[in-house]
Amino acid sequence: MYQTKVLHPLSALVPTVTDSVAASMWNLFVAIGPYWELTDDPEPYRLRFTTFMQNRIALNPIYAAFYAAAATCIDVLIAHLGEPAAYAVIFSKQNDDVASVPLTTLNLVQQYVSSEFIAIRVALGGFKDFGAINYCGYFGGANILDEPVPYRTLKDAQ
Amino acid sequence: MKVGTLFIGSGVAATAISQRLLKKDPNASILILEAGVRTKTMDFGLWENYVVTGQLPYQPYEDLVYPQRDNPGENASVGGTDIPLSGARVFTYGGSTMHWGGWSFRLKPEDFHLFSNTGQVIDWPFGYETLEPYYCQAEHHLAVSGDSDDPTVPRSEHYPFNAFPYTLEDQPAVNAFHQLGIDYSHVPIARRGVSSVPSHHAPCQTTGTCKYCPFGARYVASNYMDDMRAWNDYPNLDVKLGAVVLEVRMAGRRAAGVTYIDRTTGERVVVDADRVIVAGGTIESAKLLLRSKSADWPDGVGNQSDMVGRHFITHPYFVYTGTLNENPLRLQPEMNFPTLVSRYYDSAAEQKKGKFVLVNPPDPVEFYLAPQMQAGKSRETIDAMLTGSNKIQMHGMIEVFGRFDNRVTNLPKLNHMGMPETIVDYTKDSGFDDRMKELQLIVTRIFVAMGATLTDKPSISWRADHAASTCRMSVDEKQGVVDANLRVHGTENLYVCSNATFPNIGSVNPTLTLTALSLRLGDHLNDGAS
Repeated sequence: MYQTKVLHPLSALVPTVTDSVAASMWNLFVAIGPYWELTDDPEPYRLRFTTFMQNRIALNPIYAAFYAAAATCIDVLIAHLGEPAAYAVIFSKQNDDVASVPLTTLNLVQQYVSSEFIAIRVALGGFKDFGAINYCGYFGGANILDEPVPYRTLKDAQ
Repeated sequence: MKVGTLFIGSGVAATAISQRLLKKDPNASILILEAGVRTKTMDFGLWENYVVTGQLPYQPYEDLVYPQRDNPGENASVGGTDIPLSGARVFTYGGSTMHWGGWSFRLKPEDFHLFSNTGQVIDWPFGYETLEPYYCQAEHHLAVSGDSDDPTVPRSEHYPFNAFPYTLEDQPAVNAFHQLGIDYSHVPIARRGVSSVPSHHAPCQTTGTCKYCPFGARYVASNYMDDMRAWNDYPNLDVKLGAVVLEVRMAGRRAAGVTYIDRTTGERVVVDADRVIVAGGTIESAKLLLRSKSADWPDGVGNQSDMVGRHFITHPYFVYTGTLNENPLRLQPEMNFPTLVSRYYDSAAEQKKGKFVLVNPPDPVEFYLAPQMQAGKSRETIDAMLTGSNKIQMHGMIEVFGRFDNRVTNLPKLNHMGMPETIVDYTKDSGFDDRMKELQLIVTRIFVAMGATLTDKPSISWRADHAASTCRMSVDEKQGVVDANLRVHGTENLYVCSNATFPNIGSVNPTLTLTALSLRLGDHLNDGAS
């Protein structure tokens, strides 16, 4: 029988982010809401968000550097433009070709940090402002007889 | 090394048969050889990676594309019609159940009598009624949610779980089908539901990420094999990963065992067995028989009538796209699997020309929220895009018939996983394009009834997801490779349990039927077969 679980030899070397970087990333994640006029409260997502960053780093340790670079980039933008405008720069001027190598730090932040945060934020509940009650990546719940269906059905059109 | 039952391949066939054998005899000696390695399932970090990037952890274990300029690729397509292998199958523990969609249709009774009804191909050695009890058991094995009152196909027992109600996104198709008098029904889907029967496996939480379910609610054979190993006292059940089987070693009419290459060590290993069950996919199962040559089997075991690898078929999967002028209900993908199918044209009346099913995909209205935000579009723009004109789709599969000249064989090169590459020689029937023109007239009417405009010809994928028939069942050994009990003609203890054994595949996904055949074979072996 082979082992079904193993400890990766590099497990002990998985980096972490500093508290200030974590706080900066959380602020970026929260800023997605006002920018797209989302009405969901992000606070309940905090644990999932923190776990998400940890998992990204565990899967690919360079993400710790991505998050640190993003925090520095955001600091610079905020110093120049102030908070809402700084986030608007990140959210509104995306690199069209996400498969390409990022040419600037801003491109890198957009490609590996803010785009992923948007995907997670929408999947955690941000999608609800756009009319659906379920979304690919959202835990909608089980299909149980005589219980509310966890997605819109034909009856919702009547 | 000597074992009782030796499987080649670790997908649903090996899992279902092993479960049957071990239920009767917990001490049964079983070894499963799998060429691939383990892909971790139910890992939250890998799931999140899929959510944000679309990357799946098993993609490295798919075929590469065919060789192209500037891309060495692998395998060879030599016929008139390219049958892509890349993306069609996965070489990993659990086989292609790692990536399957879980669509769990039964064949219809007329599918078992294709030759009698149409003069095409051959009949199955038995009828629907023989397999019906096993279909019921297979639906439990795969944890299928379905509509037990659906009259489309005769059934004697209820599905284990309730059908998923039609989504709001099914509304345009439902309206059109009503208007045109086209029957439709729920898609039976292998997503575990909630019932009073205890299970180690979690129910579907409708996460819409079925290609990598974070809970294991979509059937993946390796999860069930792991269950058997972790939760039961089966001391003689073993799985060997990274084992590329070179040949089945024959001693006259008996399979003596196999020889495999251990991918980890490069060592050539010989295993003896009381019986051998080839449980790979359609292509690899046929290739293995062709490689298994000996003095008694100079052209490969079971190939005395030149039937192995022949009659290769798959389902052409078509996608029709149209334009919906407005989308006031803000229809958008909320699920990741379809809930609506029409088997109206999957009928005896259509059998001669090729039956087909129409499926409303889980994302008929092609609007995806996150990519719009990631592209920097404003809220106002996104709202306008969502409620305005959108593309809308209808999908489906159509039956094609096995032909002697359409075949798969071994290419004497190794692929990126150390397995022999494949030569696919396939040319579509001359009448296929005319059949698609007939289909287009039907779909055009459906799009008009949906309030949409069909914008183009269909895109047709010939990808080999539902490859079948290369070791087909037959009563007459000159017409096929295995008998009604899946034993290779002319052998005593060599079986093939694979989509390869289907004489035809109708117009529906084959996995439920394969599972039913596997459970039937398990019973046959338990009843004292070799």
